[in-house]
Amino acid sequence: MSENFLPQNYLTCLLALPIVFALALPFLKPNEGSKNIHFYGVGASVVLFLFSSLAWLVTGRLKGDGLNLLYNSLTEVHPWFPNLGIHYAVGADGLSLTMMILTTFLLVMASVASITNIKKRVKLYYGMLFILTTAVMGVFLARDSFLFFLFYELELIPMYLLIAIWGGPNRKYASLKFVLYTLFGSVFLLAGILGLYFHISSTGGIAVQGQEFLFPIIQAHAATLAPTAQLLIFLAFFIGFGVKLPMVPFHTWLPDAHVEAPTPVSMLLAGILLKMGAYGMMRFCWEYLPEAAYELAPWVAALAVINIVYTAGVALVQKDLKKLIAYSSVSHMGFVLLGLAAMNELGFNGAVFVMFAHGIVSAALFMCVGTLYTRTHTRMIADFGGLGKQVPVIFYFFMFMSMASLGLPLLISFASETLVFYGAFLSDFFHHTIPFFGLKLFWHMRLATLLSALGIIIGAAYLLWMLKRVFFGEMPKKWNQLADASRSEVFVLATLALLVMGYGFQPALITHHFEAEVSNVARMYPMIHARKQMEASAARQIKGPKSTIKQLSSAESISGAQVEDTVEQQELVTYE
Amino acid sequence: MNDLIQSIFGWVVESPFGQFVSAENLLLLTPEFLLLVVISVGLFQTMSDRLDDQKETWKLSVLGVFLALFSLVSIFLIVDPADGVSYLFMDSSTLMPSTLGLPVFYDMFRADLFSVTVRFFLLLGTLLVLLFSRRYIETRSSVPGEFYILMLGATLGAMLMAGANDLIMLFVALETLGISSFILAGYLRGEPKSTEASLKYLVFGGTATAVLLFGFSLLYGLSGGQTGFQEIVQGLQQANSSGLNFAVVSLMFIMILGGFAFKLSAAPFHMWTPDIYEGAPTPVTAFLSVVSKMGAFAMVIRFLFVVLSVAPAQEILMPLYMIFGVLALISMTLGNVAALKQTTIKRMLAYSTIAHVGYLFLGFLVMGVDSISSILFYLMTYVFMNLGAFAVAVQFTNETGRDDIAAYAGLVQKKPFLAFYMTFFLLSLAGIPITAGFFAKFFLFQTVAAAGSGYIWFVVIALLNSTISLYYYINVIRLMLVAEPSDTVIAMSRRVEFATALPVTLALMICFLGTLLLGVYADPLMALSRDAVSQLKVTDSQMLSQSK
Amino acid sequence: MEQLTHWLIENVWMIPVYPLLGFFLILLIRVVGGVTNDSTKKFCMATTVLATFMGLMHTLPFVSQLLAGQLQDIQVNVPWLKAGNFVLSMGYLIDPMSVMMLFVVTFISLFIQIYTHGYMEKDPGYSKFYAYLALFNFSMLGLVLSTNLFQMYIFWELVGVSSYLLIGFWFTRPDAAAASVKAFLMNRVGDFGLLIGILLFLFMTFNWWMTSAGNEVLLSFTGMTQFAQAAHLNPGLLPPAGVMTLIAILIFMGPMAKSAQVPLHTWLPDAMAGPTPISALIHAATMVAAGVYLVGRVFPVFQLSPSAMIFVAVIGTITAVIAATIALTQTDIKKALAYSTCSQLGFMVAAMGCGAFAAGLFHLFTHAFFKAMLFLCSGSVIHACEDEQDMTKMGGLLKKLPITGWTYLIGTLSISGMLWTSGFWSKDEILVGAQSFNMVIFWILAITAGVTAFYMFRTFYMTFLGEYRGEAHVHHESSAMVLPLVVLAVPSLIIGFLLSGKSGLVGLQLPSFSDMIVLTGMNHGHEVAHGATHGAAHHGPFSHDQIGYLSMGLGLAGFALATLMYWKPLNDLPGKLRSSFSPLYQLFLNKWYFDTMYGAFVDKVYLVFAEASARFDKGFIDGIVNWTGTSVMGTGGALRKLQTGKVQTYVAVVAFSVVILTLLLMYWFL
Repeated sequence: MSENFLPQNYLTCLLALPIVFALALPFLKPNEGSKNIHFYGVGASVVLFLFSSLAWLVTGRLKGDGLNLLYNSLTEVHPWFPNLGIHYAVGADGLSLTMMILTTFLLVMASVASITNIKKRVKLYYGMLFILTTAVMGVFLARDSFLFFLFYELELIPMYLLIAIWGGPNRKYASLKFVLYTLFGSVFLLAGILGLYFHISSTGGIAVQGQEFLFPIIQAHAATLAPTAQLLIFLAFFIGFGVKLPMVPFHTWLPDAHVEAPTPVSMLLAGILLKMGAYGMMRFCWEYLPEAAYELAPWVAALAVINIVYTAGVALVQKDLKKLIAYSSVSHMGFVLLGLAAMNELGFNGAVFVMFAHGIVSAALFMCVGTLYTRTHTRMIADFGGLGKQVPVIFYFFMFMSMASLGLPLLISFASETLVFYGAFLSDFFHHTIPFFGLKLFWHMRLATLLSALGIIIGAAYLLWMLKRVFFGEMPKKWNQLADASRSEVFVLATLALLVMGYGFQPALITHHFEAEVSNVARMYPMIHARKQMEASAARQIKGPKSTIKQLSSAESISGAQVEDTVEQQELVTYE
Repeated sequence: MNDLIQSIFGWVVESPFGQFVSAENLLLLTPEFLLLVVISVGLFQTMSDRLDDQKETWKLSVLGVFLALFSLVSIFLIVDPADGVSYLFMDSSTLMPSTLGLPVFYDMFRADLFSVTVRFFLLLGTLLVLLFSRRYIETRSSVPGEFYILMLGATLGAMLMAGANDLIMLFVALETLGISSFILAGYLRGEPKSTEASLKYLVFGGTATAVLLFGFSLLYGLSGGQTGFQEIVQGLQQANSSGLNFAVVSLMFIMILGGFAFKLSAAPFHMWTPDIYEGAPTPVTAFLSVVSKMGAFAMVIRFLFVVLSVAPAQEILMPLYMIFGVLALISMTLGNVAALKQTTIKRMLAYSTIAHVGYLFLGFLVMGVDSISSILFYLMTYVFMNLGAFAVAVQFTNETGRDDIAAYAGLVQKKPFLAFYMTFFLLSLAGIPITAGFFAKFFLFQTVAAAGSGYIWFVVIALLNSTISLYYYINVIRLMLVAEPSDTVIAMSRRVEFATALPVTLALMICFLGTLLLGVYADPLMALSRDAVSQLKVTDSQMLSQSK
Repeated sequence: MEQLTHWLIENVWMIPVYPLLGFFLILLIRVVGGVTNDSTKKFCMATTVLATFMGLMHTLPFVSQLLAGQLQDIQVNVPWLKAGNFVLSMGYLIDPMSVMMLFVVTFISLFIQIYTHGYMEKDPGYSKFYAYLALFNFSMLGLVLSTNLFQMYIFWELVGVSSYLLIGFWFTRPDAAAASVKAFLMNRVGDFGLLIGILLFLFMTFNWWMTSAGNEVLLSFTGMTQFAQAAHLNPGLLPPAGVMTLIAILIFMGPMAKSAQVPLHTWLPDAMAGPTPISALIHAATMVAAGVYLVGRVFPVFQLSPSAMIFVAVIGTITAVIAATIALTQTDIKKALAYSTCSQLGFMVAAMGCGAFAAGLFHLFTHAFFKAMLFLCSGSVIHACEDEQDMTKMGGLLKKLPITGWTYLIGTLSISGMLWTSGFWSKDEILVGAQSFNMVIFWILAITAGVTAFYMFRTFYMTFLGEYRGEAHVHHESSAMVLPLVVLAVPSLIIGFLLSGKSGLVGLQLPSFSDMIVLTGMNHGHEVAHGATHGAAHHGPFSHDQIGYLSMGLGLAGFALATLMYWKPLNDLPGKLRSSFSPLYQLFLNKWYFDTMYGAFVDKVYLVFAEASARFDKGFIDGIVNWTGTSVMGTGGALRKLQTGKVQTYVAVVAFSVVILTLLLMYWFL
């Protein structure tokens, strides 16, 4: 298949398509129960999905240079605000395409799920859904940091309205919290983008004038930032995206938003909106600012551990089913952080794979919760019990998805988390002790992995206890009339289940789409590591003779260990 | 077209009046003269106490403003009196001396790209206000005619401010605007709030003018008795060679700044704003918060940029620029926080104006071509989005007689378009894409951030402020789109009277299109404001080089 | 015939695929067919049985090769998960150990599936049960065929989940629901250790795998053996001794959970809440033995750390003792058998720890047959007594259930290590291995063997002899349930002898088990594992025969005591013993308080931590968020109050601000 298979402006068409669909909505006349609107919505999302999967088909077959040619041919750059260096630039690599396909796929799932879940103001609903889709896809496809930010902000209002109009009883609080929290994150994001702009425009010279926002320019010039500036910009991005990820302690908007959002919106929220944070983090922090990422890796690893273990603990005692799933969602996003902190091929691939896997599994779990909620109008775990006999289909899907979520082998999450765990454990970029306000703490990636792995125990605990309390045991009399899953619900769940199994059995089906690019990102880090080690040892040699004998001996013992490790590390990384 | 206009103006120039002023002066001030003509005719018209006659004035005013707009565009788009080169096709990279602003009336007024741009938007704003104010005024006042005349007078003042290049001219223009505004604010004589607003405005406006005048007089003295801006700069340069007194210069600066801050309602000199905005008739509030603000900003920009940001004043005052930052931060924070708890839409928008003034002040903090042009661009978008929001508010008040936020609940179910427009304008004010407000904020903050790494903190605080602002904007949106209809909305009729709604609809359409187009593609206006501002600076340096 | 054999050998990878296909087929039938009527029920049963049968057929040619000493190892790997240059593979490995396990799993599975037909006939979840069985078979066979530790981890978890599903089969019963969750979580704890162990091992030996010397599929068992050999020649390859021990112990955590070793054993007795065929198949014969199998697979790595071997041996011994003592007090027939399983697994693990690699696997092999049979007998009894499991409500069932009774007796004899039964031979080997390792362990194990005989005969007497004490009407045995009992009784009796190396006595030339089972990859240099199993056999004070007599003697003593106490109880001897050793009895009855401790840990520590986290989350983190919101709003309210509408106030504010600003400016610039 030739790289010219797709038209030049394919991605632009893709971005415009949902808007076109949305614009057609006002001209439709809803019939009884708005069936035709639902039909239109589902049909439009299917069209969008099919259209977007063209790119997927092509990347699935290409390798090496062919792939690069495809990516180059998909890139589209037009000046937008020439004086300010802003371009309309879209493009895609494996990572973008993976996230994009996830978006359109989950849109189809959400649309089908909407049939049973959304009863009022259906036209507006689909309009918001389509605008949201454009915004999210735009985030994944933008190749200009201004455009990226624009799409990142654009997603806010549709999502706000989706929660605020179609949400649960406490939707006012939850939607407002969502929107203000995200905007709070954008503050840092914009600060980071402007910081990069300032740096590039002041040091880049005439060569980059008028292109300061373009990703390739950022990538080429971010490395010249002074270390402190790089750290600050990294932190700005990290916090900005951390809010969206969500990362402890910026996560409290998520459970509230999830609890109030209607089922399809929850699916999208967990499935793709969180990925915007993860994607941005990967792009800006780890791809463009590797030095800072390298320096801060111990902290990121610590945050990952907190994210995984702490929120899993919180999930354990939730009384609200949806909150439990929401916290579990937060917990799983911690694996993305862990994978990123690993800074090797395995870790990065794992992080991206976790994004994808979590997208599918958490969407499915929210769908499961939603099916129960539409029947019982309660989400309190204590109200349930023994439903397994009454609604077996829901039960088996719920159990299956819980198993997927807790990392059962041959299901999708397992493969992704395996990559993260292996990556994190084999990562050896920081060592033994890190300074912490004058103390030297024993901390390294292995320890972080060990603690994170506790998450697989706690994860199993809360999910199994939840299953037990909801489906096992005796059933209260009041649920006697409960109906099992409807056809559209089964369709959604079964499709998701097939993916969970298919990609779980054969992870290569998905990893080969992004593996090459993502691994490429990881290749920078061994070089940075080697350089830093050399600088550190050089600094020690200069400093050495001046210190007293006692200090010298202790320094020697430490540096000796470190030098040994350096050698070992260099051997480790040369396997590439 | 060209010939036609030439011949018309040729005829005027031949007249005795034309003999008095030079042809060029007349030509360059055509819009202002047109307004003057309309005002004069209108005054005669309003002598009749009959309501129907009074109503005719509206048509005349709209026609007049439209003609003024048209003439402004024609003159500067099609006819360049100097050498036939149009300003808008000017190449910003090769700014030639012939494209400099043209002095009018012995250089008391500058008809340069900056003043033309600002005047265009002033007229546009007035036109929009006129369009949506008709029904509001005519149902409330027995003498609506004078209202339009006063508004044209205020516009005239604002337009002169935009180009004023002389302290005297500046002051005259300021007072023209001010006095018209005082009367406008108290126009609804039956309403005590309106009267109170007028009085307060008079008191505060007078104080501010006094302070400003004191500052001017110091400047006059410092520059050795000069009133023209360029002469002042030269005078200061001469005085500097024998040593300027830092304290006096600072005092002058503080005085002028205080006066300006009053006019621009920057916190902590903002206290009058909410009361007056609330008390004044809604169209007047709209006018004050957009047209009058824009004129004042144009004046401040020119004064600061041409006089005070040029050596030697700049060297002395540079450290004091930090005061703009302080005012900006106080203003935006106070405006946004105070807006959170407001219950009426007018008061909320008043505080929101204070907050926006705060953002704009960040541009003065940096005081570069980029940042000032961002201010100008911001003001252009502000015309569309803020007037749009006011148009909806006026229309809502027309139909329900209410202006409290709670009454807006569930508006979408009765008036989907109105609710949609309002949502769009409020989102724009909050700076959400794809609206003009997003770009305006982005460009402003970008230029501030690009000025140096130390400024990024101002940007961060400004951004945090816009987070706060979203809270109260989105609260209105939520009420309109999400909440159950209020009793007021339930009582609203679905029917729309075409004739009365047409002007408002037109105004809304213009605002919406403006906000949307600038939200998608803002580059031409961005370039325009850039050229306009850089021309100010160029004019300035040209003058300096000439003087040396 | 030749062609068929060839085909069977060529397509050995199909073994786990059959049950998987069977599983999906049943799933399809259930989805398409909706409610399960009789014909689909039969079809589901047939599918599963056929799948297992095919597995057995594929296995048999290898078994014959193995017995003839001609087994050719087969190893095939395909990449499964790839990132850059890092590849994790899956594949299948045919070597003596896997052939042995394949045979055990397919053979026992087949008969238990037949038995299930009788046992579950009336259950509404009949076809679901077969689906789960098929899923389990897939996982277990995949585990057996694994070529590397990573693949084994995959199937390790999958058997765990099958076990979870099957324990919770009757999920409406609270005990079953609780037991399934407990089993899963306990195994997760073990898996956690296993995962970290694997990772640590990989981390420490990464260079070796990546260099040409170890140019192997990552973590493959053959590679691990070669690594061990290489490490013997070049100790520089080894990580520090402490780390090596840590690796072994962490990896061993997996087997500890799966094979129910103290302290991770408490799930196994609870797992008896599942249907009895499951107890027989998963929780006696196959899955719980997977832990021992895993230790066997990574045995060379364990041997690199002597301390880890001691640890393994000690854990195994402790488990053997503790489980045996608890079994003494149990009145539930399945629980008693469960603790006995636990104890026997302890023997196997202890054997592994003692270095008696082949002995441990040998016991695994024989134990699978007789313990499966014992459980099936208990199932037959329970089925006949209308789901009564309490032995105090049984008795005298030998007359009503003759075949069950006699086969149970055979099983009892075998597990007690009576002469010539299968259990005798394998236990003997273990004791031989133990004495060459440590005499304390040897004596403990020997005495425990005696205790085993005691409690097993106790269950036999209480169930089958004496008077019937229950109320339920006793049914007759059904043919589907009896057939497997009879079939399994044969290997329970003789298979130990056949593979004991003494088969020459009856004219057969079968190799001994320990000659047969060698580690793959060990064929070129025999020093590591083989030396341990063979060369060490002659240490210690006792000869091989003496040990045989000793274990026989102890077994007979246990038998005698049980006979004395339970056949014709003299003056309520059990009761007297109970009261005179009250504290000890209470300790045993309460299962050494493990469950109590875990319960306390979960309630007092774990849940408290979780609760505190949730409070912190809601109170502190979200509190700050909400506080920020309300305080900003509050400021807004305060500012509103400042806006009085009075000109005086405004002027005052302005004047005040001007003063402040001026002061600020003066402070900054003057």
